[in-house]
Amino acid sequence: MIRLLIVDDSPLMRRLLSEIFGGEPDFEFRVARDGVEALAVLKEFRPDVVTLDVHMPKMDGLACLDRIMLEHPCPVVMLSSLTRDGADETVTALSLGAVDFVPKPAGALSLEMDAFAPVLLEVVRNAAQTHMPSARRLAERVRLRAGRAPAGKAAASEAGEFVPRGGRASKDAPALVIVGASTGGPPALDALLAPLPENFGCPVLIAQHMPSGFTAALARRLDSFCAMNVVEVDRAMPILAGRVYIGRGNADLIVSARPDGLFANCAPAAAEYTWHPSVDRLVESALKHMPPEQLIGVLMTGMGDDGARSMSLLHKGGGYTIAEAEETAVVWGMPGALVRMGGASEVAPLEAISRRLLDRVNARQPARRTSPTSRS
Amino acid sequence: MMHEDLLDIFLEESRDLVTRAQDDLVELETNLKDAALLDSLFRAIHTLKGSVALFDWPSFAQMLHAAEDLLSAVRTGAKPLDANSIDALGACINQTESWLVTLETERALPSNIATRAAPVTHALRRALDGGADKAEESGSDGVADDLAARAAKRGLALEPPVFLVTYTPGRECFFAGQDPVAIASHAPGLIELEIAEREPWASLDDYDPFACNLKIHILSSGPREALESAFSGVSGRVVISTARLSQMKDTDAETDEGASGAGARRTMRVDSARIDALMHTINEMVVAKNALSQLALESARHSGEEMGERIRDHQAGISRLTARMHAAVTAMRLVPIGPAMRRLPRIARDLGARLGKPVDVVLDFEEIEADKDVVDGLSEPLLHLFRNAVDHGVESPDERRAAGKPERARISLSARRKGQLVLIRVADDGRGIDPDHIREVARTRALLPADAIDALDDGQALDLIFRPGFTTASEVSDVSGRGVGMDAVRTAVMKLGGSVDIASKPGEGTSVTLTLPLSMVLTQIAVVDCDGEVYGVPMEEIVELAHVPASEVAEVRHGKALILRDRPIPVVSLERLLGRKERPEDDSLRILVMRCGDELIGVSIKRLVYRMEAAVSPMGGMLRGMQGFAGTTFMGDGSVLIVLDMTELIG
Amino acid sequence: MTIELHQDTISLISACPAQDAETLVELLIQQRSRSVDASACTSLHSAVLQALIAFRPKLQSVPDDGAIRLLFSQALRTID
Repeated sequence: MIRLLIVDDSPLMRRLLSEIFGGEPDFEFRVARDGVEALAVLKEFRPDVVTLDVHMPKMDGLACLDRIMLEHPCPVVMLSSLTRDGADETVTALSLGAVDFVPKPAGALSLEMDAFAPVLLEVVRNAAQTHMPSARRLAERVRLRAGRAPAGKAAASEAGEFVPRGGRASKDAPALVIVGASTGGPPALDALLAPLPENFGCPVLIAQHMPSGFTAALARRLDSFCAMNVVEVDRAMPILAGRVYIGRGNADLIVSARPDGLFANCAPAAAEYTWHPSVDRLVESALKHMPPEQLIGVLMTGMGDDGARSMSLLHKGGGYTIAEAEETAVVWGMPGALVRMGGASEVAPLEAISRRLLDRVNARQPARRTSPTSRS
Repeated sequence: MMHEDLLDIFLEESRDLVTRAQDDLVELETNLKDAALLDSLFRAIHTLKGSVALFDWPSFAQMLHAAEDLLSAVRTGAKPLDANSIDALGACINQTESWLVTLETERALPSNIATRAAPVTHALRRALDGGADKAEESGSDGVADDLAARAAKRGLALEPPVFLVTYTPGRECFFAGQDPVAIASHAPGLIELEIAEREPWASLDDYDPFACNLKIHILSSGPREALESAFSGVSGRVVISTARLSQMKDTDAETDEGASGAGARRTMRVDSARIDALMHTINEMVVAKNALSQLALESARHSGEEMGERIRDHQAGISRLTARMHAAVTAMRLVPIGPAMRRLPRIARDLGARLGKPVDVVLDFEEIEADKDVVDGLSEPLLHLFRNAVDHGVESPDERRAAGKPERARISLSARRKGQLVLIRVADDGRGIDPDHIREVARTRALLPADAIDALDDGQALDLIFRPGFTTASEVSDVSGRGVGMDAVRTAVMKLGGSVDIASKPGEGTSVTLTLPLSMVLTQIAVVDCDGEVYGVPMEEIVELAHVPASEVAEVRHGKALILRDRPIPVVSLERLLGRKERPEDDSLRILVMRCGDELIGVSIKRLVYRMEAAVSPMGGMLRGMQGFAGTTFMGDGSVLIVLDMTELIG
Repeated sequence: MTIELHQDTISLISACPAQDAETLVELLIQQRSRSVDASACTSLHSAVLQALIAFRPKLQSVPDDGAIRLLFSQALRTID
């Protein structure tokens, strides 16, 4: 029996959620109308999982989430709107410890309830299974909340160099880092990218499973405190070193070749892949244009096995792959699958991954902007 | 899954939101820049949109989404709030309200919501784009012609109506799973299709294969409703217009090009009798169509409301067509009034010369076009008025000199257009008419009982000269002729649907004004029941028909009043206005809210029988001059319907 | 695969989905002189058709399928 606390200020949503969970035999739930009531219920009900509305009067969702994490840490699923503000707050919530989120049916997406209910049930059931990493110290949360705008970040312009078609002239110099993540991904990306310097020698392409709208917020948030420029790929753009490219939600991120070099582009979500942006499709598209040994694959926390198949191929072809260790992953699905398939060059805890990337990239990187052969 | 109580919560929540949105919009109209109002309206629409999205009504949600986008742009200052936006938002809120009402009673929405939502969504998107595609639209006919030419090459004959669909898919549409080419190539009635880039690509080196840059034109035989529904999923991106093809324009009117060179006005001569016959037929159609209202009423009684509704729908369609035909033929019959006017000065001068009265004629008129019947029928009464003026109105030169006037008399003829009327005035600077003299003549000829004659004021006395058998010429001259008086003028003008007024000042002159319709105008009439008889009320005077419980009509000091949208409106019964016996009050009242000057007045009626349209003729014969009657018309069964002049009745 | 390359000819085969646009564009960018054989194409997504409109490769043959051939002629002004 899953003990669930529903926190929502809209009577319509409360009713809808009660209907959905009331029809499931494995749920026992309580309902709270706002954050204040939620905290009161939390103490005596001791839920396994909470669904939390991002926008609420009295105490907003983020403040409530903060208190939950302090007073009764448990998996929280955010119910969020697709507005820009809503997406920003949701991404912040994920960094503050919320496990996952479900967009409320709204607007153009027009999720019908038939589609909404199974998604919600799946996400909440999965969230209830995750065990909370106990490492969410208050100080860490405060740091994440405040964000650190790095001083003197280069304007997002001519900073980088093109990654040439067919890879670098120097055969084993890494040219591209590919990161795949799903559930628990946003805070893991915080930890991965924050330590990377502005002159990190490789572009980083990230497929983080998320609906559209939220990936832009994710990119904005990461860009606000990372030294590297972080952008959402919402159209074809050249892949330049020193940049982080986040694939747009509800679409796929692909690498494609253009006369000047490699481009990142978003493509309509292809039906043969289950999750989007698809890690497998990203890796496969990169492998079409570059030798495996110039690619580094990182597979982090997330349900399912997206990325495991393609990164195994990458590994077999001579590329380097890192799987996040079970102890730091919120869900050890994707990295676990990679390890089981024998596709991981190494298994590392989250906090060690950026160090490993720095070692491999900047150490073996040819001197930047000096090689006349780097442009084809 | 559609949960009944979920729907109830939705309705409860949404009713308040719609009311708030309506209030906000009304206030915004007078206060375009009020940020608080704008926020409130935005939030209401935003919440509505979110709630609607929970149900399976995509086009409804899409419409609200468009409204939200528009408001969002206004809020950020990206777009000013203008009349178009207000109208579009108003339409959106009204549509929402009407669907809420339907949901309340039916627990479901009709299947045609996509068709209903499409134009509203489109208007909202247009308001947001600021009509940026106007230029393109006017240029679209060229596209339509191209497509038509290509269709013709493939041996396809085009029969109007032909529709041009311009579909500009959004840049991101592939990501929404759309395939615009597939949508377009399955358009109903597809004749020809053109797919091209919307804007040329600057460089193919960074070509983005998933950024849609297409513009699609479709030529379709329709019907429009089918096209609207086929494109309802992308309604904001589609403009459907009736194609005006140059090929078709040629077949509109046969031309006699042989004789005339380029640029010549394309005209043809048609025997006016044929046009008259056509007009006559159309008028008969109008009358026959009016009979449908009654039929709808009866079948609603006997075979249920649905049957009545269907007949009414058809009637509305026929109504539009007859109105169009009527307008077309009316336009065909217009001729300038100039020629009929210009021959008058010479006649007047000749006549003056014969009578030894030198006369100057001043012509002052605009080049007005009026119905051929009106222009033709004008000649006689005008000629008569001129003869009268020279013969009786104007004094001899000796008399004029004695009275201190110039020897040469002056007659002016003017014509002015006033709305759908033409006012023609013949004025002289002669001796004028003495009302006492008229009264005296009326007494000797026993036109009216003596006491009635004494009761007439000067104006009314003057009006007596239009009575049959009245003639004041002391001597019978060959000019005015025998037995032809002003009554002939009035009869002739009334036959044209006009009226005559006279004004005179003894010693200073007389002026006669003819008021004539430019053409035979059809008037929308509501037929109402009063004490067992039916009367017509012109629809243009009716603001709305309110249906209110009797309890809402309060007794006030001088009668009754209804509070309608916070505004007290005096209420009188039609029976009372017409001097009939008051009918017992029902539980609920039907009230025609009429505009009376700046005021609103409620007239309670027993029932509204039906609506019709007809050419109203002014009151003639015995009814002439009765207060409160605008004229008469014929009903479907051939009986005469009296049309009320409510302003006069209430006044 | 719904897109195949044989020597210098790109063949569109059966129903070409949206992602074929990327493949097609890459092949055409690599070598602009490549021509397209659409005879076996039975349907194609707007994105693929748009790529053909943009790059205007030499068409070796239009689709055999009547409906899609009409579409080709209308979008690309080929003579059919």
